[in-house]
Amino acid sequence: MPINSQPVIRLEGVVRTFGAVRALDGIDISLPAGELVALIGANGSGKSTLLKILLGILSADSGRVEVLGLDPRRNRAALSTLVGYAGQDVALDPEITGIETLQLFHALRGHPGVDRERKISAIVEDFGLENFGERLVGGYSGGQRQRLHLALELMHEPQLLILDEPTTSLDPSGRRGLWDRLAAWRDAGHTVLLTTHDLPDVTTYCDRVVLLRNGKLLANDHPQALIARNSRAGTVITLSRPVADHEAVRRALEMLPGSPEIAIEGFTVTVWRNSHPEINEPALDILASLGMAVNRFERIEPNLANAYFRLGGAPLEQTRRPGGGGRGRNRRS
Amino acid sequence: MIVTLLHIVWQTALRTWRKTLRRPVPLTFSFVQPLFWMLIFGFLFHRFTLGTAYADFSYLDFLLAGVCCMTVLFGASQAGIGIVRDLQTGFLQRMVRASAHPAAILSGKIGAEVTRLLLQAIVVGLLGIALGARPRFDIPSLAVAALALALFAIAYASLSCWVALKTKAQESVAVFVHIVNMPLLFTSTALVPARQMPPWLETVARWNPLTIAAEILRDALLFQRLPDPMRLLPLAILGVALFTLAAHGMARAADD
Repeated sequence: MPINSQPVIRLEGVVRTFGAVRALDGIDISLPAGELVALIGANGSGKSTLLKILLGILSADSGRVEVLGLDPRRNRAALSTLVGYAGQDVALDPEITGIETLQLFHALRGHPGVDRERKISAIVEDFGLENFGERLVGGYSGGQRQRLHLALELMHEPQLLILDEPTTSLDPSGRRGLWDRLAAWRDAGHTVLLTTHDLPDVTTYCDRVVLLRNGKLLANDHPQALIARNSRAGTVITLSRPVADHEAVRRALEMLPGSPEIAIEGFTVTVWRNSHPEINEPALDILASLGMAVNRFERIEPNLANAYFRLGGAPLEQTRRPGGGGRGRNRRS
Repeated sequence: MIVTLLHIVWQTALRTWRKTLRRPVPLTFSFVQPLFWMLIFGFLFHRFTLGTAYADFSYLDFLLAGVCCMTVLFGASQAGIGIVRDLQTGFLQRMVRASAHPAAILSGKIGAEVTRLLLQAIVVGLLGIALGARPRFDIPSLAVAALALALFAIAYASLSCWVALKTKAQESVAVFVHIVNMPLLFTSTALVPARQMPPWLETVARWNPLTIAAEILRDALLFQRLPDPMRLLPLAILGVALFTLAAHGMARAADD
């Protein structure tokens, strides 16, 4: 069980360069214990470099790094017993069984042999490995591999668990199972830091979001606080014909109250405001007055994805989901 | 601390043995090659003059110790292939990150390989007896010979693992096997006595670790002779040096 009020992770002015590229550019982060923290950002934003520095695999060019009060570069052996790390690739040996894998890692973690059977039985039960634990790992499904993958990193009850895109290969039920498990782990007082692109799940489960862009820290706050400060309500309007005169439509819609931002793309016009109008959507009347027929419209509540893009996250296309409408289309076209 | 280290060594060795037993085909084929060598070379050289030192023995008697050592040489040289596979899946990096003792992981791996190779050498010895070889040994000299073979196996398996850790490619390990094994074999006394070699080759053979292992085993199998302990020293030094090198590479595997 953790520990104290000391930050689990403390970074001060951390810089790391690769040639001419500044992968991390003066990062200051302090993460308290007992939180589920999402590290988000586009590919190349510096997430992986940050994780490698926290794990002691890379050193910072300058700045101060502390994990659980220790310099990770100098205390890798000590931190290996305090930190769990599960990389993006589910690195398992296909030629041994799940139970054999657990027995191996039980030894590698330096646990005493006397309570091995009890401990491994508890893990098997906790992670639902009963039905396939005796089978060779090579025959596991993606979800089963992910469960074993995570069990290996939690079996030594690390004070800090670091996960690199753990939900990538999971189906929706597997993803929910994983998030529930991580939340339960957090509720038991441990700290979890993970990278992910699942922004809706981050909103639901995480206590904190750390957003990087081009090696710089853009945000470090609770998801709801980020949404409240940076996200807006959107109305996505689908027209029967593509918009011909973008400027005329934009000028007309910008007259609406609440300083709306307008995005136009093909058949779709998106109006972003601080909140939805309580009664009818006045944008529909304006479009009708311009001779445009509306096929349908959809309202989008303020969300983390939108906050992310408004803060300067990666292009929308990187996280748009099927059926996601115009979520996050906050840029002027 | 020691219990923890032994626990890691044991579990890592257990994993290596399990994987070996679950791949019976390569294990079976590892006996075919020495069998061919004994059949073909035994037949080809059965009239070969071994010299006065071996006047009472057939060529097959002489060859048996060499083929046992050759089995260890070829088996140990492939120890790195499993390491490459583990590096490619990321499992090795994961093991090293999980443990504060990467050298214990390597010890388990090498220990399992050495045990397997000694058992293989015994099976090859029994195959040789079935083909007509007549070794005359006693337990003390055979035990010392097994120690010499184990030291040779530790050295060579460590070298193979180090190559694997440095290059991270199965092709490189295969090239290493081809480039090193044959010259090492043919510049040793595994197949012919030193006295039958040209002088320059005799000098090279004397410093060849395979010669040292083969001669100690041959002395045990044919003359029940205990070796001078100083003859074990070069094998021990080589084993420690190459194991240290490989352990250093293993510790750095977590950086990938």
